[in-house]
Amino acid sequence: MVATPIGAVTPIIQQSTMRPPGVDGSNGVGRAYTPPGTDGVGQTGFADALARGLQAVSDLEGSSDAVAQSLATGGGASVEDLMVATTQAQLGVELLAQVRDRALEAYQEIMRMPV
Amino acid sequence: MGAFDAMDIGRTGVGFARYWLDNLSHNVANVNTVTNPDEEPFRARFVVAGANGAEITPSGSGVHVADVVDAVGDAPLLYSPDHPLANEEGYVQGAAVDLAGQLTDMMLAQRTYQANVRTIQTAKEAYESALQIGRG
Repeated sequence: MVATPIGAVTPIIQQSTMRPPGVDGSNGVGRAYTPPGTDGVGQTGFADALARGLQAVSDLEGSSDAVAQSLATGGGASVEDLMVATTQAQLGVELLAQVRDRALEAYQEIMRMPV
Repeated sequence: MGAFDAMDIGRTGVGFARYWLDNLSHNVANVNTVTNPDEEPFRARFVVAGANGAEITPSGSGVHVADVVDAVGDAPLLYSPDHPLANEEGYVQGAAVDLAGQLTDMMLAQRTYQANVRTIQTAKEAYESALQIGRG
């Protein structure tokens, strides 16, 4: 249940080891610039990454709810399971909020650009 | 590798310590359990820890209860002729529980629990400080 959130982060790690487009000739001259990390890793852009991040956070919240219900109904979950699950869900939400803030900030910075 | 591995690993440690405490409570609660000397006495349950897989993955790391073994050795015989479980010689069999050892183990289990909670807290604080990078 916790393997999913890293999915949104992995491409960011990968892009530091990727060569810039055009260096190896695979991106031909005249081809539109493709930001690193968006080709060959099975995603199409920030919107998709954000959607997957949202889904991961939603999964964390869902599993946290399931553990809470299991604990309340005597279903075998323990207190530490619940505390860890709720903490993970909280951290996931905070991470998502940070990503949203940064993206919004970047967008507003561009919109303030005098043209 | 998941995002919250340290927390999940710490959770296995907390779970193990809690199970250890459960068994210690069981042993201490049964310290006065007596049986007929012909029967198997109550024996203290010892929890054996086992490491999960060597890979640090969400499902394959941390600790698990590898085994629960019974205390060995002879249970004490107590002279109590009026006891309904006494044999012909008037003896009943006590529990094979070393109370002092159980209470010492309880301190260890409590510290184990606290130590694993601390790893979870430290991991949480580390994640929170990572989130501080973008703040402000």
